[in-house]
Amino acid sequence: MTKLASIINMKGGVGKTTLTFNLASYLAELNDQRVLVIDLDPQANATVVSTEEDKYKAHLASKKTVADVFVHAYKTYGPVRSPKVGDLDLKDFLYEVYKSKSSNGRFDLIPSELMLSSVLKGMTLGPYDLDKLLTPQVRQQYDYILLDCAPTNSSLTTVALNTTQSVLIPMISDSFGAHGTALMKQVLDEHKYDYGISPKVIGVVFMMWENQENQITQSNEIIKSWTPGAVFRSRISKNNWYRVANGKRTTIWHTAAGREYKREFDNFVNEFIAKA
Amino acid sequence: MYRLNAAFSRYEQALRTLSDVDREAAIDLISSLAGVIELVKEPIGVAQPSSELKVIRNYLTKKLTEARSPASSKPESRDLLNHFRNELAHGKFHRKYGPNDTKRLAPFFWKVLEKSAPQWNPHELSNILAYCLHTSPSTNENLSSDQKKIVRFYKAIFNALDEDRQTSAFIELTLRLLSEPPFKGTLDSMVSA
Repeated sequence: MTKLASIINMKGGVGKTTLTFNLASYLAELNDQRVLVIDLDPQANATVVSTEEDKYKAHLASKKTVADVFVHAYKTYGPVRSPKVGDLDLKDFLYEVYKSKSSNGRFDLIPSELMLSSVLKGMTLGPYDLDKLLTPQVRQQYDYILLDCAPTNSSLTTVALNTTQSVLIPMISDSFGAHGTALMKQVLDEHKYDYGISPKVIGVVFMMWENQENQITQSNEIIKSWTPGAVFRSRISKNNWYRVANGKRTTIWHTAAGREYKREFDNFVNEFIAKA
Repeated sequence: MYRLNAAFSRYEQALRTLSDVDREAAIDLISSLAGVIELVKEPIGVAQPSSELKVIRNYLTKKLTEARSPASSKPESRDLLNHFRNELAHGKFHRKYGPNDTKRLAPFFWKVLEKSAPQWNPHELSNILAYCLHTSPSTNENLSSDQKKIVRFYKAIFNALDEDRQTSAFIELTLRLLSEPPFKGTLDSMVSA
């Protein structure tokens, strides 16, 4: 059964894209899983880190991005004339990031582009999910579908939460992180109120972790407010190797990062698989 | 005087590299020394400084006696617990921490936690203990509002763990709870009482 997750936090700069990209790559390369990442952020950071510049340009010239999903397919509600909705073919959107030569493991991406932010302006009526694209047949093609979300509460957040109905929340343990906890809870509560869907919290992951007193104190506040099962015990330490890896458009285990940093990512992935 | 200035210079250099906790202790020490130096600079015959020097001598004698005698268990446990936690928090834990340390410190830890229990929000207490012990929070209705029962519930879970898991759980418990005002306040009050 396909597992879906929105990687989300209302605060920017917490490592959402880094986590999404490394998680997707790990599952595909090291666990032989079939992974689809949808970049739902108009800033397109997941697209930048996952693609080669020339190949991405070629993709834009001949194929579609996630923005096109919203241009060509939306539901209508109330007294609004229903436009003719064309069929969406996943192949038109896919960018191949990784494909194993010896196993089923693969990492596909539906890229984003800046135009997505313009599309948002006209999205007052919907669509509210990606079901037109992620049909049951499409879902069967993947073990994991991950949505990298923008750090704002917008129609795209609604789309993500309705589509995946589960969230993975990267968080930095500082005073902003504690505030972000309150915001995330508010977003999830509002979503339940608006759509009757209470997304499953796969977990809160502490990013850029330093075993320092202020982080321990702030993380205590976060642990106290979420149920313990919803806070990952594995943490991603603060280290420059993620920045180095992102710059080279690769993952941390393809860098010279110390064994302890790679091991902690192993631990995180194992915990993610168990919780997702 | 030259030696004194050199010593202060070395002290200031060292101060910059210290953790907050060590820096505070170092500042206390140097303030005390500065006070003593001010006193001894005064003529010995002046009544006030000599009487203060006498107070200092008595204090130091008392502390020396205490240090040489077997320490009472409460301050020792408090200091060990604080020391242990600070080493963990400041990344300076050099020796290997093992089950014997847990056996020595855990009973005192749980005693402090139980005493601090009424000061906690029951839900938050349960969440943080469950997280540290890698378990689910209790769903027992009878426990939900009784903090002492919550502490005993998780203490039983802790005691049932094998040595290795007990040790890793105790490290997590110490790191997290010694940052919490109810626990820290109770720990201090139990020693000064």
